[in-house]
Amino acid sequence: MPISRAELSEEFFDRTSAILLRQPEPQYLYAMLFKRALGIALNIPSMIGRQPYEIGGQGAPYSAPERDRLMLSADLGAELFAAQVNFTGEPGHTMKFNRPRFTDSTYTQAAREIGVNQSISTTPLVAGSEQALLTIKRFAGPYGATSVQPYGLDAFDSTMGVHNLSQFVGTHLGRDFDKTLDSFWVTLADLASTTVYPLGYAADNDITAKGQAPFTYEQQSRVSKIQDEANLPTLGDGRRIMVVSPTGKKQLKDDPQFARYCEFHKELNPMFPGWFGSTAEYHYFMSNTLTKSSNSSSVNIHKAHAIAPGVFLGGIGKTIGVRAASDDNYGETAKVIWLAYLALGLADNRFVTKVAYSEDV
Amino acid sequence: MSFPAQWVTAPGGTGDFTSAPVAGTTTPGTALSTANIAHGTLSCLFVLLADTNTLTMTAKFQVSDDQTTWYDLAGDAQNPANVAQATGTAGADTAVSRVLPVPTAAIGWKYIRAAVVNGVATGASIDTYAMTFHYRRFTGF
Repeated sequence: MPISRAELSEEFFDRTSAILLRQPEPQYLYAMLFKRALGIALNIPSMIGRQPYEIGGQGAPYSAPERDRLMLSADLGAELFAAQVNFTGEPGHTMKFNRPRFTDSTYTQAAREIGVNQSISTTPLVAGSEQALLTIKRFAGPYGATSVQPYGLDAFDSTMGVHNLSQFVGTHLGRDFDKTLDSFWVTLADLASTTVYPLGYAADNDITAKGQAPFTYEQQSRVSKIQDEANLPTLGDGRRIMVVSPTGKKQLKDDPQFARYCEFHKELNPMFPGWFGSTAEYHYFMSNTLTKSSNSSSVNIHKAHAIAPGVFLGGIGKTIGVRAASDDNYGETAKVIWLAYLALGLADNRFVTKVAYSEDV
Repeated sequence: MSFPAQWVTAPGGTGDFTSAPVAGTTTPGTALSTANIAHGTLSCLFVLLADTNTLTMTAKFQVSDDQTTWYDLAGDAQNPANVAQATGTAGADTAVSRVLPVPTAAIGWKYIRAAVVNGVATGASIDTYAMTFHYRRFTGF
C-alpha cells in the first residue's frame, strides 16, 4: 500500500486561495442612475462596528461589489429626474410639486365671438393645478426572511480569515443597497400608465407560447407614436429613452423590418459592434433587472421602459451609511446594516410606457 | 417561408366533457393570435379520446377579430363538412391523434382557435381533448 493522502491524512490539508473569483452580477442600471443623479453613495468604512470596538479584519482584500458587474449599457442620464430634493435640515416629510391642470372647453369662433351689445359673463372660472408628491422614508437592509436583519461579524475570527472580513461585509451591504434601489426604481417605472404589446396582442395572457410575441421595430414605432401623441418631452436631440432586456435586443436584431431598414447602414447593422445605440426615436439602454413575470401560459413576459425625461423624482435625507447595533457582545460582535433616508417617486406616470414582449423559444 | 427557422408550439386548449355538452355542442380551445405566423405553416395537433359509447368528436377551427364573436372556418369555398376524428365504443377506447392544417386564409383574421364538436351522444368527463398549434414564426425572409 503506497503512502498517500488516503492512508496518511495527517500530512495533508487544503488551502483557500486569496484569489476571489467573479460572481456574475447585473449592472443595476436604475440604482446607478439614482446614486449619480443625487450624488449619493453608500460609504463602507474600513472597520465596522461601534467605537471603540470596530472590527477591521485582515487578509487579502475582498473586491468591491461593482467588480463583478456586467456593464451592459452606458449610464442613464440625470435628465430623467424632474427634481432632486435634499430634505436635510428642512421641515416636512413630503415635498409637493405642482403641475398645471388645464381644463378644456369650447374653442370655436362661434363660441368665442362677442357679438354686438352682448354682455360678457362676470362669473369667474376656476383654473386648476395638480400635484405630485415625494415623501422621504427610512430604508434599511439587508433583509432576512421577513424583516431587515444585520450582518454580524465576530471580532476573534475576523483576524483569521483568508480575506478581509470587514470588506466582505461591506461588499455584501453595498450589493444589497444597490439591488434594493434598483428594484425600487424598476417597480416605480412599472407603474406606467400604458403598456404596449407586439402587434396582435393586448394583454400578457394573450401570449400563449415562447417566442410568439417578440419585441419589434414596429412596436417601438408605435410606442414612439403614443408618446408623441401624448406630447411627452424629449431629450435635446428629439429622442427619448428605451431600456430593454437583452432578450429585447436579440429580438430586435432578428426583426425583419429592422433588418431591412439597417441593411445598408453600418452604424445600425447588427453585424457590426455598437449597432445597439440609438434609433431615430430612442436611445437604447439595457438592463438585466427589468420585470419579467410568468403569465397564465407559463411564458415569461418582459417589460421594457420607454421613458421621457422628467419622469422621476428623487430625494435624500441626512443619513446614508452603515450603522452598527449596540448589541455587540461587549465589543466582540459587530452587527451592521445600511440605513438611508430616501425619497423616490414618479413625477408623472404618463412619462413612462411599458413595452411588453415574450421570452424567446 | 421563414429563415432562420423559428418553430413555435402554442397551446390550443385541453379539457374534457365534464360539463356534459349535448350532441352538437362546440367546445372551444384557447385563442391564438395570428400575428407573426409564417404563411402556410400553421397546423394543429388534435388528440381526441371519445370514450362514451357512440359519441363522436369532430375537430374544427374558428376565427375572430375580437375574441368575442367566433366564426366557423370552412376548409374551402365548397364549405365541406368536417369529418369525425374519434368515435366511442362500448369498451375502452384510445385517443386518436391527428394533425390538421389550418386553412391559410385564417391568418387574415386576428385570432384563431381550435374547437371540438361532440356528436350523437352527450359528453362526459371520460371524453377528453388536447389541441396544440404548431407553426413557424414569420421572420420576413
